[in-house]
Amino acid sequence: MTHLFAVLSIALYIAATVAYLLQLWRPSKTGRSIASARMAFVVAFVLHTITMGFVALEPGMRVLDNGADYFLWVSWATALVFFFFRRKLEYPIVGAFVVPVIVAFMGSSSYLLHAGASSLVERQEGGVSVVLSLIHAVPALVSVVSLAMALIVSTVFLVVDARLKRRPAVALRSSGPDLQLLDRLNRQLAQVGFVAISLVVLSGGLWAVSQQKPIFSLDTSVVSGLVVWILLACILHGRLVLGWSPKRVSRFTILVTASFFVSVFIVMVMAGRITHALLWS
Amino acid sequence: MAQAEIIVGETTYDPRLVVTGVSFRTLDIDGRERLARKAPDPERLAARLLQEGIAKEAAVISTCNRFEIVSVGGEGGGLRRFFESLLELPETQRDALYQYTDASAVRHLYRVSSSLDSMLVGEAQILGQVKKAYQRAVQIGSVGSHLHHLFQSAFHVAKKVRTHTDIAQNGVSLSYVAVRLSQQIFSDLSTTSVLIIGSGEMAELAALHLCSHGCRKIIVANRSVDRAAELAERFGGLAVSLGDVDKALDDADIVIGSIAIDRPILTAASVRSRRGSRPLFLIDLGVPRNFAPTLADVDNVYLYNIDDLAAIASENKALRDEAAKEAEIVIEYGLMQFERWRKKLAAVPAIVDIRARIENICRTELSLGLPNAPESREETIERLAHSLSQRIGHELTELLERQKGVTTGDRDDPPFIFIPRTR
Repeated sequence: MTHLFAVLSIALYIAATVAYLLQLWRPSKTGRSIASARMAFVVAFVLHTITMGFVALEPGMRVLDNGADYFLWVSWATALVFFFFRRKLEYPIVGAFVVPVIVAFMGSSSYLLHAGASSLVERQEGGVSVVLSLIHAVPALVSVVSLAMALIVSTVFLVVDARLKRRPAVALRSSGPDLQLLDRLNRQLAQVGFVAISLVVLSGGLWAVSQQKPIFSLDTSVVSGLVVWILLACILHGRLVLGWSPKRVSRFTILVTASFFVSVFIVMVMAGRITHALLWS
Repeated sequence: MAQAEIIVGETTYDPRLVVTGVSFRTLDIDGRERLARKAPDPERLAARLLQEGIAKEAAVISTCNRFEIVSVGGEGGGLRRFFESLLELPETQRDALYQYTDASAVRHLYRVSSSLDSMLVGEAQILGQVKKAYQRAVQIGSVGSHLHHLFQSAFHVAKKVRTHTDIAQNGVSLSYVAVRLSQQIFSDLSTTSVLIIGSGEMAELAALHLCSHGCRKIIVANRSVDRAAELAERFGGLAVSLGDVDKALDDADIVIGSIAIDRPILTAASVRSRRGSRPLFLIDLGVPRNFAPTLADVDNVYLYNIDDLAAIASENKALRDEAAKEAEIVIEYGLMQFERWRKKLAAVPAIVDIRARIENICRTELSLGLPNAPESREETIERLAHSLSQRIGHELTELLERQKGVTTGDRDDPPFIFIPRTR
């Protein structure tokens, strides 16, 4: 049943992507394609949520202890953010970026599930307390979603900015979000991401101390988390103190978030290892 | 002014639909002004047309660009003479009067409602004005089933044209383009400040449009502070001297330049020294240019000169022209549907007649057949069915034969015409 709902939601997410792309490429005057995209997305999100309910109720499930679940939760959280902000962000250009990202996360989850990646690492017996796990895992989820959304919003910002500078007639015809809105969202996402990663780093440190393990290791999650944390701090400093332009901030955000996701994908999907593999092995 | 002509519709309607009037295409502004002063209220005019028996139904569309009477009946000289005498049109302006009949009249009303016949193709006001004309006519009871259907179909076609084509998209004025561009940059225009450098007419117009979209503050900078103050007063803004532009730039989000000046008043250096990292939208309407072209390369600065705006406006105009072609197809389709309705309406007496005949046959057969029925129930029904089919078949054959007698030679009549029986 879980599998069926997941497959259906992926199919509908893909349909929503196609409708958003169609609207972006050839805007319909009646708004039919945007309405179809909206409907496909909402139904997909409902099915996705049901899937997550089944996953959460699975016996012996622990928060984000395998790659398949990790990506499934990340995809759902990304969809949740878009679902709640869809009125504000319901532009074909945003949908055309967000929904494929959700599909990519779900696809990665499915791949890992079928590749048996979840069984690569043995579960820790009685190791991490549930509370600490939640304090660590939930902000980690929030930070990953913030980074994904920041990556999308920054990309859309650069697209709209380039259009306004070089092809203003095209910019006027395509109904895209305005630059100030995108910049504001970018700032808010960086702030949320920064706070969430700070919590992740702190709770991770506490966990290490409680387990009498080293605070720092060369584990991908630890290294990429720390690097992203420092870089986000730099971006926020550049924006708030040095007065960086929104365009420069967007470029940096893309650089930081894209490197994070590339490293996560390489380690988790291509190398078949989950987060904290080094710490747990 | 173009010479108006009487255009006769492709098919003759019964009763005739007529549109008689003048518009900006046939009458100049002086003539339209005089007409606006002399013409009576549209309600009174429509009522008078009905009272004098010139038309059976009438509605009057009166806008600053056109004055038209849409009527049932009144074709030819009647309405024309009435119009001429009523408006006291001089001999030289009588050619300005046009009259469309039947299908041409329907098409004309569709084009007017869809703003294809407007001075600015695609403008939205005309549909509201036509609706108002219709409502006024409904209120005084000068609209019957023909005009009711005509106007309703015109509104339907106009709506279809607006939703299915790009006719209403892509504004064609420079001010519109400026406002739309600013909306792509700023989330809320009510939080933005506009700095106008110079006091050119186009800058004033662009500022007026931005103000109507809720700009928070207007600052006017000019060589003559008095002139700047005069303009600022009109917008409820502030006036500064040209030397204070750099200072005023700190507050400004949108800058419109239209001053005659030898070298650019704003350069990349002056903009970079501005406080904060808010976007800056520059509209350069001056020739020679008021803002250095290198400003276009500065992050967060969006510079457009008069050529850029004109290029966007003309690109939009081309798109509207393209959309107008699509709109004509929608109108022709609407006209086809109207014709279908009209033909159905024409067939109503014949349908009523044939139904009455069939009912009559049934009654006669029942009264003759049932009382003296010696056979069983099934046999009675069978006999009645046979007799009814024979009688109805005979009636239809007779009608067909009569039809055959009517359609002779090369007539293009439909293959089947019912001739109502006179009772």
